[in-house]
Formats: sequence, C-alpha cells, structure tokens
Amino acid sequence: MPEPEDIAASDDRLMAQTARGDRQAFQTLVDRHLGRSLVIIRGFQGLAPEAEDVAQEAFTKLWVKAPQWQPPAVTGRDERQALGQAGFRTWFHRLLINHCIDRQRRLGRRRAHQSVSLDDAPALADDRDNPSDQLLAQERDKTVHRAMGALPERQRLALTLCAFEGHSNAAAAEIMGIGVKALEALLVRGRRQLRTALTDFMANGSS
Amino acid sequence: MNSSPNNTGPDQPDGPDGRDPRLMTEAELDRWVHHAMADEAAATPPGLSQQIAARALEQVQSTPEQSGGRAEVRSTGRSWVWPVLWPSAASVAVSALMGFFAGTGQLPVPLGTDLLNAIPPGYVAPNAGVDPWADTDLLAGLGGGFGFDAGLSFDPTMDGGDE
Repeated sequence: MPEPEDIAASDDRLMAQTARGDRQAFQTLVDRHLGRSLVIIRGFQGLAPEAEDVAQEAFTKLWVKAPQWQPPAVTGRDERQALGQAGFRTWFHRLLINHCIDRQRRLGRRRAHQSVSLDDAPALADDRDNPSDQLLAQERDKTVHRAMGALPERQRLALTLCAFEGHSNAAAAEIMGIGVKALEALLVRGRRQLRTALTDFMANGSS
Repeated sequence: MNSSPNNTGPDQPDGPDGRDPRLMTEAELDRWVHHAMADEAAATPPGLSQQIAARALEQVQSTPEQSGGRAEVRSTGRSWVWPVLWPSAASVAVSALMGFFAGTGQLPVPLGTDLLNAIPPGYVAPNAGVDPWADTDLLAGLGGGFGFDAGLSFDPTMDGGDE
C-alpha cells in the first residue's frame, strides 16, 4: 500500500497531467477523491441531497482551473508548508469548500452556526448483515456520524479536515480561510460538543 | 442523563464499544470521527466516479465559457499587458528626457528666456506696425533685403539669366 506522501506526490503528478488535458489522469483524480469529497459536501447544511451534483461541479472547476495550479517545488508536506506551497489536496479542498459555500448562498439555505437536533441529524445508512464486531463498529460509526451532524457547520468542517482528511492545523486553516488560532478554537469547541452529543445520544439510545 | 465526567454510576452512558465519550482522549475521538467518515466515503457506489467525471467533462464541452476557459485564461493574461504597458513606457521615457535636460540646465533648442534676454532694451523692430500684405512693392523690397543683405553679394547681371 502506498504511503500517504507517495499518494500526495502522485496526486500532484496527476494534476499536472490534467492541466495538460489528460482525461485519464482526471478520471483517476475523481476516482481517488470523490468519496471523500462527498463526505465533506454532506457536512454542509442543505447540500446532502444534491451532493453528487455539487461534486460534479467541483470536479468541473478542477478541470477548468487545473492550468492555474502551481505544483509544489518540493514533495514533503513539512517542506511545502515551510515554503507556503499548497499540495493538490489542500488546493482542491479549498476549491471544494468555496464551491459548497457558493452553492449554499445560491440556494439561500445558508444556516451557518446553526445546530440541528439529533433527531434531524443525518443517519449513516448501512443495513448490511455483518458479524457482531462489524455491527459494533457500524453502530459506533452511525453514532459518531449523527453526533457530527449535530455540530455547528464550521466546527464539523474543522473536525472533518483535521480528523478525517488528516490536514495539519495550518493547512486546514488555509483551506477554511481563517487563522490557525481560530481553527484551533473551532476544534476545541467541536470536540467538546462532539463528546456531549455522543454522550447524549448514547444515553438516549442509539437506535 | 448524568453529565458528571467522574460519575461511574449505572446510568453512565458508554459508547458502543464500552468507552465513555467523556473520558476519551482527543486522539481517540478523532479516530472515531475518522473511522465513521472513512466508512461513509468507502460506501460510494461503484461506477459513480466514472459518471461524475464524464458529466464534468461533458459540462466543460457544452458550456462555451468553460470550454474556452483555458485559452481565455492564458490569452487574457497577455492581452491587457501591452495596451497598459506601452503608454506607461512612453510616459516614463518622456519624463526621463525632460528630467535629463532640466538637470543639465540645457535645452536641446534655444527657447524661453535666453532668446528674450538677447533683445536689447528699447529695440523696435523695423517693420513694426507695417502690414506686410498692404503693398506688394514693400513685399518685393523685403524679399530683396531678407536674405541677400546678410553678407551675401548678389549681382543680377552675373547670373546671365537675363541675357
């Protein structure tokens, strides 16, 4: 299995090929990043029902803007950060999130800083038959997913970028267009609320 | 619900794998988040990425402003440069020339106060107040004395033209 650093360098190469009009490279990028992009998109209030359309528009933008992307001169993440250079994932996630925000504005559904009740939080739909340990993991995932759905949007996004996508605090702050301190504050509040939401949810039953 | 973190009573909520969320470390919490979302990402229907990529490329081709986007981005990058640059460059060149002559105190042609200072006080031009167009004879006289009196000897008989 390739190391994350290799995947990042490979993404950078694919992006450079996409910039030259290579459709196969573009397809590979979509294959790699669609699932994770859908998770990010569904984290935005009101976008879950049309997540696939939003993803398609974001990948269209990726194709159109590919020639503007500057490949980092170095491949190491720490070195790139030191030089202020964005790798493909940071660049694409910024594009994706900006597009989600635009889309929300267009839909007139922007409800930033609003929480949804646990009952309204989206449940992870997964009704596969699994052995008990998988059922346990499945139940845990469903619980976490619903608790995440109860978080304010920006806290959920900060947690998604750092805990799920593995971005550093600096990269996540750059993607969200905020300072590192502000991002850290979002993470602290997000984790605290996630703990509370998980506790509430488990106390009230997870079904 | 009991919200005390130190409560170990029977009503304390435990996670699905027996962990109390209130006692979980930051890393454990992040790991739960990661697992939940990774499973969701992995649940993407097979074939969806091919559909999305195909639709994205189709949209690029069918939308004029997007299909020409790459060429426009590159061409507009140059198109505005020269109309702005040339007048700016010309303006800078003229300013530099004027600055040079102002700095040396010498103009390329004798203009301005130098010429005026060369006229002695009380000087009245010989033809002051005369309308040069009033009399053709005067014009002829002026013509005769205009250039040939300035040190040049002129004898019409030497030309031989009248002979």
